[in-house]
Amino acid sequence: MNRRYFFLGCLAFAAGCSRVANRTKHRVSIVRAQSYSVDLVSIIRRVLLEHRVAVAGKSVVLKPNLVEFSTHAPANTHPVFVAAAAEAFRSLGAREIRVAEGPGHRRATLDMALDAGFFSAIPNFEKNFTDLNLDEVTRVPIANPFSSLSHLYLPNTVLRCDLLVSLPKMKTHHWAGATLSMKNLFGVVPGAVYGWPKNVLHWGGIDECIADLHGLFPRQFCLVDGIEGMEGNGPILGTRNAPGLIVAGSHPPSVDATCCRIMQIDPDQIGYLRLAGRRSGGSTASAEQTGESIRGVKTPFALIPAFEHLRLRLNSGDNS
Amino acid sequence: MTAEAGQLQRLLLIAQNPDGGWAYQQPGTSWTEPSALALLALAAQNNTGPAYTRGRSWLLQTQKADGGWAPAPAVDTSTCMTSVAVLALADGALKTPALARGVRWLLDQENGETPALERVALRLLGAAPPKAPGGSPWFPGTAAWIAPTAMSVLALGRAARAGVASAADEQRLRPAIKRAQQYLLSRTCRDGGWNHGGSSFRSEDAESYPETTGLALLALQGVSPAELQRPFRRAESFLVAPQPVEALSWLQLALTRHGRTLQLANSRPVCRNTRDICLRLLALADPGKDTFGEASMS
Repeated sequence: MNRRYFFLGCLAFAAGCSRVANRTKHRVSIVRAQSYSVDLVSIIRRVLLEHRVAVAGKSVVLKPNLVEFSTHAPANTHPVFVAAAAEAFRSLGAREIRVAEGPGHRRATLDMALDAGFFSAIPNFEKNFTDLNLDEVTRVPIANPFSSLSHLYLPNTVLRCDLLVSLPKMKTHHWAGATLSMKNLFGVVPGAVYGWPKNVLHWGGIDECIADLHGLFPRQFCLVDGIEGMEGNGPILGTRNAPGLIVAGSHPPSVDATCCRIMQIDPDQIGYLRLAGRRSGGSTASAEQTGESIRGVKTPFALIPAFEHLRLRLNSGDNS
Repeated sequence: MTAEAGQLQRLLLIAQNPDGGWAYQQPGTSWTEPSALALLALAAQNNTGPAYTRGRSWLLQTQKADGGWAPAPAVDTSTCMTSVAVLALADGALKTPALARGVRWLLDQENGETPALERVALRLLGAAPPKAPGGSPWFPGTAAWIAPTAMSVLALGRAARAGVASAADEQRLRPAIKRAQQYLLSRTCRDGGWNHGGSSFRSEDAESYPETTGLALLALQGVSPAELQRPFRRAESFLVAPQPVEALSWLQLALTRHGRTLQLANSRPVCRNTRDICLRLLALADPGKDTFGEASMS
């Protein structure tokens, strides 16, 4: 074999590896949970075991979505859901569990948490909570950014934990289309540096910044609160829709793509999912579903007129 | 001094870091905003002793070369936190080129008019212009919002009264304050108050927040009371229910400065961090016209 053939052989091998990577299927679980009064701890515990999430001895940060004082529709991750996640991780031997969030519009984070019911649902909540807007920060460079940002200051609490658990609410979003586990990471960007709202992320490109943040946190697990969600003019002014589901997995783009299909939103039309797919060499269609089928649980979420083009079409092959 | 103010002041003094600054939360490193607010709160309580002096030194030492202040020494970019630093330092006792550069930094942050072509393009897309003239951003180069604009008005107003701007900038102060107040008025919510200040695009039904309503009203001193009747009603309606410290403090300071009679639902809200302690101390003391005085001087 001469050098030319050796070189061509290497190229062919690399292309083959790339195709194998493209076929990587990330496991995503869809589990029914009709209300917040069912045994959520057992459900979440089973999901964590099924996904073989390494929990024992780890420090875990639970990142719910806390955006507003009580509104007419469910805008915040339900505190009972967060409490159940904390209990499930504790039962599997987590060394430390903190709840952490940095709301994007309001500064009175703890008062908002009190109003949303977190103090009563989670024992010693204030002691075990970090306001990410006011946390100590570290400058983190963004390698090969999609956005116009070269770096971000990020809270040490989330940078130093062993596992970041995204606990978003299943909602539509009037700028990004859908807000799920990836968009939930906007809440880790500190308001004390970037403000309320964290407008730098809008100017850097919303989809691009979501994809960049995803790349900065490789150790994640996602548990989407789809028991009650928000449709229409989300993430604050929408209305209630209750699919009665938890969607979980360790690969946020796959979890979010699955949620989109359940919501009957085409994940290929969501900018940040396309970007994340481009970076990982995968696609939004590559999840390995366990538990319920999307077809069996699909729950169309109303979209504002400007986003009707996001609606999943029947020939998309996404109703498996 | 009330018992509550005395207790809060003791907490504030205990929370001071060895370097002279204050953290948002204990334990923590010193940040610009809580440190500057601590100085304002201590001064309002007539406590300008050693703790105040050390805090002032810390704040002066952390000014960036561009004249602004970053949120914390660990951050390399000056932001709107410059306004609270200038507000704390522009008490008339200090007239230095460094402070004048702080004022200039603030003046330079004002967003200009969105270019005509961009306005047309955005209108065709159905979106509101991203920048409204007169407002200030949280972070340089981004859109204007209510809180940084209002804080800038308060800082520039105090700088004008103390005469700390450079001669060249002195003439820029009053028009800048006027434009900022116009920006605030242009972002009033349908209910008469203010929220964070997003455009009405896809958020036309968004409700106002008590804290930004109070802060905006505080920055609108000098505007005709006739123009502020709906905001007054909205602000007073918030006080019917208990409010977090931040909201209660800004509402209390604003309505007092506008000469309104207060009827408070909750007498003693819970201070969650250093910033809350400072805001509560300011509201309890009402530092008066010198600190939060009329800004527009129209």
